[in-house]
Amino acid sequence: MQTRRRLCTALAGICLFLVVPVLPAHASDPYLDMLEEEAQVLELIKTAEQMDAKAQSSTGGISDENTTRAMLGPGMSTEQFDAALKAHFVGTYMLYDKLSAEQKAAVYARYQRDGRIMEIRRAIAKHL
Amino acid sequence: MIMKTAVASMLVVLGCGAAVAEDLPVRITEDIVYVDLMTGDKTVRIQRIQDEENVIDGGFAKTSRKCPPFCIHPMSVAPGVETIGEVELLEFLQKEVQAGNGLVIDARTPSWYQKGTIPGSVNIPFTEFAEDPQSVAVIDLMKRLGVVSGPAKDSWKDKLASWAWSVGLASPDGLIWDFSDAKKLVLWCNGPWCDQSPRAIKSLLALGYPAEKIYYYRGGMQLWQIFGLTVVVPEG
Repeated sequence: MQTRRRLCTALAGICLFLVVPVLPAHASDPYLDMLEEEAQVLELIKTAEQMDAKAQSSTGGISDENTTRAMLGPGMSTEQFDAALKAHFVGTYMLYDKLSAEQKAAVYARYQRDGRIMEIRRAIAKHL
Repeated sequence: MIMKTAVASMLVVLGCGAAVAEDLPVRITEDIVYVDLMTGDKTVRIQRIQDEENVIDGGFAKTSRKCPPFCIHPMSVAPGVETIGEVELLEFLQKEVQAGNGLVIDARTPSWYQKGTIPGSVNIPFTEFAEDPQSVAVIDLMKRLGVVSGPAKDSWKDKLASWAWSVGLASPDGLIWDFSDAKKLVLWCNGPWCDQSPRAIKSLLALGYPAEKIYYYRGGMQLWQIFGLTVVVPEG
């Protein structure tokens, strides 16, 4: 039993030795990881903006420009915040709706500090 | 190796003559209204957004990112490397790129490049410059920059090695670079908070690329967008 365990450990070590040099040099570069994370967040924000703008134009609501610059008024409860997103920013809400209760609470906390829709979108995107 | 060319061949035309006819209110400079880049059979016009109420949004409107790693870079990236602005970059496109003596390099990773780039730029991510200097990828990359590789040519042994290298009999061990025909380069990335082009520049200098042939456009995509200059989304 012990021999088999030793053999497995040795094999795992050999496999690791063989695999590690094959990985790209930048695979563990934290700067690259953060760059890619930032790029993904921007992509999600853009998607949400486009979906909001499309929904707004189809309902004759606020303009494309305002879907970027808009703010959610202060002092809303979590339920009111959810409802406001759903009513005015459908694209953003669709992304928000995918979050866990804990993540939604973090987005709500962000809204309490800064009600700009672009900041709320960013907070949502960071959790996706 | 990831290397995409945004322009194959390029002819740059300053739109000075059209200034009076078109009378655009937001010019690049008092004398320059726009710059036309001919890319193959297409023309890309670089000009500023004419809506004086326009503001930027999205990622480049953001003022604050975690530092490190997204810290403010000094004006000078390395000794001997000149930092330039938008007007100098346009002049570089007109003079150096048109003549085939220069390249404007978008040193960002492909996920950033795909969102939009400065017309006339080629995408060579900064990671490409940090590969093994003796790898085929770096040798190909340097060829693209007008740099010839081969063993040293001082002694008879070197001459023999050079011949062996030229006919494919020798490995590139100990190869050196000949920078005499190296192109002038402008490197840029997301803005003064971005480390991608500074890293690429440092890697080029480590390879021996002459500092006087490298220019750093520190403003990058953020300043380019703040001035409302034309951004193109790469095809494919």
